[in-house]
Amino acid sequence: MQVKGQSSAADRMDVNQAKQEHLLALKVMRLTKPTLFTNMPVTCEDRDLPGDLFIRLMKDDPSTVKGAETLILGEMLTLPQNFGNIFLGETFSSYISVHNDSSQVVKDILVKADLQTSSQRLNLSASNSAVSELKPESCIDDVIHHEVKEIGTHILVCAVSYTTQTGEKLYFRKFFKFQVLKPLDVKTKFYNAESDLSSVTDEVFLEAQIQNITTSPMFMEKVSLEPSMMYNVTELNAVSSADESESTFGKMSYLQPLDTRQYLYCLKPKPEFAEKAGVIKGVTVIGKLDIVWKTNLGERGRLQTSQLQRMAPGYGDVRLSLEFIPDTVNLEEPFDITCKITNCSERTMDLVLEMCNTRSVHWCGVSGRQLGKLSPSASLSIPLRLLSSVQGLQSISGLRLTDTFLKRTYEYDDIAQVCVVCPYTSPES
Amino acid sequence: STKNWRASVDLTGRLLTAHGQGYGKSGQPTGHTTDSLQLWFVRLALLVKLNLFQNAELEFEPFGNLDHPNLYYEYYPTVYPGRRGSMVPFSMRVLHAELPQYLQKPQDTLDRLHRIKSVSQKILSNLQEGLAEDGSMMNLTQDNRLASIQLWRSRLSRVMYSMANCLLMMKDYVLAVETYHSIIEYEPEQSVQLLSGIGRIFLQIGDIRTAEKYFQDVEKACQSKGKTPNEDTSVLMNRAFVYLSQNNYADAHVCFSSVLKLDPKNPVANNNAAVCLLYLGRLKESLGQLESLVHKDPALYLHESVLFNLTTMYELESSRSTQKKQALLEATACREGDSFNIQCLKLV
Repeated sequence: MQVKGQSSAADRMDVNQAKQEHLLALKVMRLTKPTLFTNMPVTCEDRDLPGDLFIRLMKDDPSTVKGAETLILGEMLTLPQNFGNIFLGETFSSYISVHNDSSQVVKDILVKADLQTSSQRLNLSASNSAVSELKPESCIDDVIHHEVKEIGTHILVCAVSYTTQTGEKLYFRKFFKFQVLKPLDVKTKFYNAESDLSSVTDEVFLEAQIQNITTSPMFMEKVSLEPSMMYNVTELNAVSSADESESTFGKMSYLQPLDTRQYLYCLKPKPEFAEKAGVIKGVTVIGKLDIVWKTNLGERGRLQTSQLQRMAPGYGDVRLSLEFIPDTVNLEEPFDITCKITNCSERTMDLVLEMCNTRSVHWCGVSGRQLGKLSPSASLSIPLRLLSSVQGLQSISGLRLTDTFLKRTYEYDDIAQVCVVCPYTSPES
Repeated sequence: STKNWRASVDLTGRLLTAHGQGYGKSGQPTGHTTDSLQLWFVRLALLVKLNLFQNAELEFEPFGNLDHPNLYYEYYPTVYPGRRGSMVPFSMRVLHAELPQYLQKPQDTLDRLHRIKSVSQKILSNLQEGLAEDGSMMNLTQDNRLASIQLWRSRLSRVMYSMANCLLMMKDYVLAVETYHSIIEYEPEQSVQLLSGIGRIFLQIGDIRTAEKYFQDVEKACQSKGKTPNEDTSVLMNRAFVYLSQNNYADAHVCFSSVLKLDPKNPVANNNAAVCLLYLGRLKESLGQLESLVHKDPALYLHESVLFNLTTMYELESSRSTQKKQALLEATACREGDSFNIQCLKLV
């Protein structure tokens, strides 16, 4: 009886085709890394009843560590006992063996292995040529590797075609279904250098929260941010000392299941983009995260996120930021700051600056002066002088910009904070 | 030594009955002797070796915390005149402490081990300060003192091994590594094994770089003993594991083979070399090697781990794996005692 040759690219998930007895047997075994055998030490002392029996048993046991038999983690490798879990980004390795179970020589054997996912079909076989003959009790072996790039159902389709001694052409297929799961949960958060207030610099901080949602511990070998062309990135996850840098996570170099870690990156716009960054509205592309991890005996996984995007904070039509401000100033002593006013709108503005005093901040200089015309996307720097009459952390407020063309006033309060200290020690404190 | 432990357990049962403490007698008042306690220890140790953890836990219960008054010499002044202290063998305390972790209660194990550790440390410091073990001013001869210090140091390191092992089973790798590391001070001759073991822990986590650092320390320790790295099986084994973690099964196989040149009968290297062959796509060769090892030296190779590997490869090789596994079953039946863990043959 002849079985019809290659059937059409079927997506049916039969476990086995035709009930015909085949001369060849196909076996598949997933090759995860082996594990180290652990012992269970039971000991006694020479003065105890069993004497040296237990110690001798442990010394004779081939899987104990010689010289330290009470150490449970031996050096004996054990092959994987079950399929286990497989996660996105890991490499699926499998042993495929075709064995001649019969007593006759079989000819022209072609073994093909394909991986079928919901979106594509990939050929995994190392060689695509037929083996001319296979003697009884011999086998054709292949080890295939594939980096898993999709989540969900995957089907390994193995097809074997061969010719018997009598010239009959036979064919069979086997299907092996497995699920690919998600290994990591990644959440990202953006912070401006000073959130909600106009920033001193144009730095943006990215916090990436990574959670291990597998069932075994993971060693995070590399978590890096590849910036888009607008930004330069500084990683803030290691403390550098003279010789080497130590991770901010200290001794905990690995992530237990369901543990989360936060990674921090600082992004600065490149000089050629810096001016624009202050005026950018809407969505900018920041970059993407590249994550490499390892588990048991170096089993590797790798994932990249999609391009991360950031909504630029809205600055309104006119943005006021601080170019220079001291951290700490003396009580009732005037100090200087430099403000940068940027026109974020599409039209030219004619601005007038007014300064209003608050309970703690007193401005020095002329209020109500004209700053001149400012074209779209242009900016100007204004030095200002002020003093504080109250000690402690004081908020700088009270600047008002009025656009004379539209007769619109923009208010700027709580622009920044400054620490006011008293330089004299009073006699009765 | 024929490993017929079940039969041994039965024997202890009969002997304990003769002491008035056998089956059905739990909860009744009784007297202990050092002999009866040793019998109990053997019985409980064998139950644990047979993985009958619940039975062991039940039988340990009447003993409480191993500190009942009737477990002390002072309770029997006529039988043991003048003797003081606990009659409970130290190994029995260790066994009692280690048992809960096999019943998914590792915290209890750690608590009990901590107690033993602090008592041992106190005794050791008493001895080192010139006092007797219990802190009294009793005089000991120089020889007796040294022997006692030696004994308690070895007991302390045994307890520390127990704690480190338990932490490792709990997957608390940071503490486990610290504990293993602290044993080196008490057992410096085991530094190579301990450092290599710590390296293997890091390989299990996936932190290959730190593992390599520990393996370098092993190399230094070996060099100080006067051996070149290529002459030392520990160094070669560690190198092989690093290659394995880098997916380089070919070089791992070379390293395991180099170990075999130095130590042809090394069962671990033989097993591991065969495992590497499988990952290189050489099933028949691998199977052939393991089978010939089992055939030539069944006493050594009829071990759970080797048999797991063998049966896994039989299942991969052919449809007649059941017959081959049965052949293994016959081979083990005539060699092993009644304690053999038959599940490793995967016959069901």
